[in-house]
Amino acid sequence: MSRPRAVVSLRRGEITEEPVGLPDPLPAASPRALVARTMWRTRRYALPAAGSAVVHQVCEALVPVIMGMAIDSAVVDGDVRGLLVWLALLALNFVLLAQVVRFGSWYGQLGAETMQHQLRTRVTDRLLHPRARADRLPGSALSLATNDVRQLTSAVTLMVYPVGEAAAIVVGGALLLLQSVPLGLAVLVGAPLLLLLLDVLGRPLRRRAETEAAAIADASGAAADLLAGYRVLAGVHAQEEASRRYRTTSRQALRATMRARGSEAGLRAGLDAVTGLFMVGVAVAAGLLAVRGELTVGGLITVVGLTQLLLVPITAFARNVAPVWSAAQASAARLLALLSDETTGAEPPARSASDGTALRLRVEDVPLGDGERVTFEVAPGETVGVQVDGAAAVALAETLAARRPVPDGARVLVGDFAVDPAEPERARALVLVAPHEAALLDGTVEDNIALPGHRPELLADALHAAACDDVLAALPDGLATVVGEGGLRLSGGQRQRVALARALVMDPPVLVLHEPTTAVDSVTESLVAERLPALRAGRTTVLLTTSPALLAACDRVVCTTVEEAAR
Amino acid sequence: MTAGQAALPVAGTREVWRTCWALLRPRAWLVLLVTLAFVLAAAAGLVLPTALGRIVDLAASPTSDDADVWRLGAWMAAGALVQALATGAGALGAAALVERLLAQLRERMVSRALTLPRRVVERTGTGDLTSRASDDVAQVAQGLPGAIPTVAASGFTLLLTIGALAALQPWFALVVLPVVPIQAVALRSYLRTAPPLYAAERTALGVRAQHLLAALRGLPTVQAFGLGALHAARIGTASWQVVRVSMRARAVLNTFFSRLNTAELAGMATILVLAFVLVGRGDLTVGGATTAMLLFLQLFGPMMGLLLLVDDLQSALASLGRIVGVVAMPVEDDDQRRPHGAHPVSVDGVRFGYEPGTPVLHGVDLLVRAGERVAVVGTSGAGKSTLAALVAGAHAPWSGVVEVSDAAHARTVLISQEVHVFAGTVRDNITLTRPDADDATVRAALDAVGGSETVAALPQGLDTEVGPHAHQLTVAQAQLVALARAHLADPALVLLDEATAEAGSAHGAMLDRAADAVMRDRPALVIAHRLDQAVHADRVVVMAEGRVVESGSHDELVAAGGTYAHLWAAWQRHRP
Repeated sequence: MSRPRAVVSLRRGEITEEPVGLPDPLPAASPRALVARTMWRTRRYALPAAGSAVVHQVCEALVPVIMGMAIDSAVVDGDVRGLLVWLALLALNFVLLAQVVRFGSWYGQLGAETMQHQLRTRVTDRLLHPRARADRLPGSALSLATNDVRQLTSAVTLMVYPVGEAAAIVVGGALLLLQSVPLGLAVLVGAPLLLLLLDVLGRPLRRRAETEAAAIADASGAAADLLAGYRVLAGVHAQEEASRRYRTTSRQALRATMRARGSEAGLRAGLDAVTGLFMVGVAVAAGLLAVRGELTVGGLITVVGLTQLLLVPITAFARNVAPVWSAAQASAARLLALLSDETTGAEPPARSASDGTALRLRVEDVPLGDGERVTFEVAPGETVGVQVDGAAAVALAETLAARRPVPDGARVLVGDFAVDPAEPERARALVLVAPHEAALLDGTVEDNIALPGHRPELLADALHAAACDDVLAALPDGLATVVGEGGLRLSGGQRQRVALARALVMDPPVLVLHEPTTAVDSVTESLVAERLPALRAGRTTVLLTTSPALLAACDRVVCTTVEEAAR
Repeated sequence: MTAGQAALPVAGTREVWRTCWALLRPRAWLVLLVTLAFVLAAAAGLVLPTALGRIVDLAASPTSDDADVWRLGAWMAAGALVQALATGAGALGAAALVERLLAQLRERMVSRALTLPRRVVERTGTGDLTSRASDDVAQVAQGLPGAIPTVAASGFTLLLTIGALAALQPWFALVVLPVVPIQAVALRSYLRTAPPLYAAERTALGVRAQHLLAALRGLPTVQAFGLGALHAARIGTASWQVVRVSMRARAVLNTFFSRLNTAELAGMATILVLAFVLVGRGDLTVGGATTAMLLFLQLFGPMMGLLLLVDDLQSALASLGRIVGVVAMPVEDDDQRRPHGAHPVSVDGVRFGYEPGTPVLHGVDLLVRAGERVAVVGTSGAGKSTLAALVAGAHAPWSGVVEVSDAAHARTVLISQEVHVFAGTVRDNITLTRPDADDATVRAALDAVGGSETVAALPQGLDTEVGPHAHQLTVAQAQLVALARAHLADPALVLLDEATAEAGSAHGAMLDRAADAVMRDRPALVIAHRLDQAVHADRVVVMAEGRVVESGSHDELVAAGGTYAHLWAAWQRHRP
C-alpha cells in the first residue's frame, strides 16, 4: 500500500498544509450504514494501523513467553550462549514493539482526523447553505459540527485497536493451548465470559455513575455565569447573595460528584477483585499441573505471565467496542438527518451581480402576526419607510429575505419576480435585507465592508453615509483595525455603523434596512438620515423602523397598526 | 472604557501548597488513612508474584504436594481481595479529599472575585476572571481527582515493588540503574516538546469553535450577503489546522511511549542477566527469578501511568496557581466615596482619568438634592459614564471630592445598559437584591415597574428558567427584570447609565416608565441617551469634553439657546 499523500514526515508527525481528501462515506441509507462506510472509507490509513496494532499486541504478549523460556532453559541450565540468544530475541521483540508503537496508532488517528475534517466540511456546508434552516440554535449546530462528527469518526479506531486486541487474544490463546489444553481453553473461554458477565452485572452501577455525573450541576458554568454578570451584581450590591447561591450550587455538585465517585470506586473494586481471583484460579490450576509434573517450570511461568498480560486486551475489548459503536451510531443518526436533507443538498448557485437597474417592490397581504397584514408598493428608485416594530418588523424582514414561507394570498414581487423561499438565492441577488443584528466577522473593518460582490467605487460614499468617518478616526488603525470575535472590540454603535456601511456598499437593486440606527446617538442618527437617501438615489430602499429621524428622511412612510408590547 | 489591561495575580507553587494544605489540615486523619490504604494495596499486590515464584519452586522440588499449592492459592486470593478493596477505599478517600478541596477552592475563588473592587475589575476585564472561574476550575477538576489516586497507587507500587525486589535479592535493586536514566531523558524531552503542542491544540480547537460560532450566530447575515463560502473556507482552514497540530502532538506522545519501551527492555534484560548470575551462584532459586520477572512486569503499567500524568499535573498546577492567585488577593474597600454628606450626592471640583496624564473629567461640580432627579446629557466621549462611575464609588478622584449621604452610601443602585440574565428562574433573577422577599413582594416590585404582564406571558411565569441554556429573554424583558430587581433593593440613590438605550423605541417608552417607577421619590442621576429622558428631569446638566458646560431645567436651557437648545432642536426636528 502506498504512503498516503497527507504524510510529510512520519517522525515529526508532520502532514501537508492542505487538507487531503478521502472517498466520501455518503450517501448512506441508515445510521448503521453511515458508521460502516465511515470506517471502511478510511481503510487507506486504518488497515496499516490495524497491522501495527496486531504486531504491537503480539509483541506485548511475547514478553512473558520469552522470559519464561529464558528462565526455563538458560537460567536453570546456566547456559551462557542460550542466555545471549534469549536476550537478543527479547531485544528484537522490543525494537519491533517500539517501532509499531511510534507509527501504528499515528496512522489510525490520521485516518480518523482526516475523515473528521472531511465530514465537518460537509456539515458546515449544509449548516451555512443559503437554504439552511435559520431556527437551529448556534450551540446545537456547533455540537453537530464538532462533537457528533468526532464521535462518528471515532468508530475508525474500531478498525485498529480491537483488531490488535483480538490478535493478542488469539495468539496468546494459541500459546496457552500449546502449554496445556484445559488451561488454554479455561482462559480463552472463561475470561471473555467472565468479563461479559461483569459487564452485565456492572451495568446498573455504571449507568448510575453516568447519570450522576451528568446530573452534576455544572459548577464551572455557574461560576462563569455569575462572573460575566459582575458589573450588574456590583451595580446593585448583590455580590454576597450571588456568592451564597454559588456555594449552594457548588455543594450540590460536590455531593453528586461524591455519589458518582462512590459508584465508580465500587465498580472498580469489584472488577479488580474478580479478575484478580480469576488470575489466582489459573495460577493454582497451573501450579497443581506443574506439581503433578504435567507442566514444565517454563510452561508454568509462561501460563501465569500470559494470563496476567492477556487480561488487559480482553478487558479493553470487552469495555471499548460496544460504547464506541453505539455512540457513533447515535451521532450518525443526527448527522444523517442533516446530511441527507434535500433542500441543502444542491451546490449553492453562484450569485449573479446586479445589472444596476432600479426595481419595483410590491408587498401584498404579508402577515405581521396578530392577524395583521400589510400591503404596500415601492416605486423604482424610491426610499420608503415602513413604521413597524418588534416581531412584526422581524416577520416582514424575514419574508422579504425569503427566509420564511409566503402564505396563501400573500405575495412579494421584485420587478416581475415573485420571492420564493424555496429558491432564496434569486431573491437575495435582487433584494438585500440587512439583519438588525450587526454580526461582524472576526477580521479588520475592511474585511467586513469589502465583501465579495461589493462596489469598491462606492466605498468612501458608503462610509460617509453610514457616519463611519468618526468611527474610523477613533479606531487605532482605521479600516485596518481588527474588530475581534463577533466585532466585540467595537462599541455597539460602531458595530451598527460598520454593518450599515457594509450593506450600502453592496449597492443592491433593492435594499431593506431593519432598525439600522438603534445603537447610535441622536446627533449621529440625524446625520445618517440626511445622507442615506442621497447615496441610495436611483435605487429602491425600504427602512423598517420607528425612528422619527429616519422616517422623516424617507420619500414616503407606510404606517402599520401593529405596535409590539414587551413580549 | 477600560484603560490598559493589567493581569490578575498568579500564585507560585509554594503559595498553592500552603493554601491547599491549610484547607486539607482539618482532615489530616483522612490523608493518613488514604495513604495507609494505598500502601496496603501496593503491599497486597506483591503477594501474587511472590507466591507464583514459590509455586515454581514447588514444581521444581520433588517433595511438594497439592496442599502446598492450595495454601499458596489461599494467600494469593486473600492478597487479590485486599488489593481490590484497599485500592477502592483509597480511591474513594482520595476523591473525598480532592473533590472537597476543589469545591472549597472554587467557592472561595468566586466569592473573592465577586467582591473585587470595581476599579480592579475594570482594569483587568471580566474575561480573565471568567476564564479562571470556568476553564481553570474545569481543568483542575478534570486533571486532579483522576491523577491523585493514580499517582499515589503507582508511586507506592513502584516503591514497594523495588523494595520487594531488593528483599528477594539485594542485587535486584540494580535494575533501577539502566531504567531510571532512560526514563528521565524521555520525560525531559517529552515535557519540553509536548506542553506547547497541547496548548497549541487547545488554541486551534478554540479558533475552530470561534469561527464556527461566528458563522452560526450570524447566519441571517451570512445568508443575506451570500457569505457561506467565505465562512466555510475559514472554518475549513481552522479545522485542518487542528488536525495538523493534533497529529504532531500524537507523534511526540508516541515517541515518548517508544522510549519508555526501551526502558522496559533495559530493565527486563538486567533482571534476566542478574537472575542468570544469581541462580548460577546459588543465591537465588528459579522461583525467585520468576518472582523478580513477574514483579518487574507488573511495574510497566504504573511506570507509564505515572510518567504520563506529569503533564496533567503540571497543567493542573498552573490552573491552581491562577485560582489561588485570585483567592489570595487582599481585601480592599470598594467604595471610594466620602460618607456623611448633607446631600445625596455632592461632587466638588473632581478631576479624574483612567490613565495618568490623560484626564477624562476636568474639575466637575454636581449636586443632587434630596428627591431631585438630575439628567446628564452630551455627545459620546464627554465623560458622562465616567462621572456616573465616580458617583457610584467605583473610582477615587485624582483631586476634588465625591461625597454622598449615609443612606446613599449604604444603598446606591447603578443600572447600566449592560444586561445580564443569570441562569435560574425569573424569580431568582429578581430576588438577588433581597433574598428573603416572598412572592407578594416580588410581584409588587414587578407591578411597580409595569412588568407583571410581561412575566405572566412567559411559559412558567416567575418560575420560568432563563439564561443562556434556557428560555432566552429579549433585551427589553431582561432590562425590565433588572429594573424590578433594582426597585426591590429600595435604593436611596439611583444611577441610570443609558439603561434604556439599546431597546427599540417602542420598548424604550416602556422601559422609561419602568425606570421612572424606580426613581420615583428618590434622588437620581440619569445619564440620558434620548433627550426625552431629560425633559422629565428636575434639572439637566450638559457635559462636553469632561466639563459641565450648562445646568438648569429643560425649559431654562432651551430658552438660553446654548448647547442643549441646539441638541434639543436636532432631536425635536424629526419628532411627530
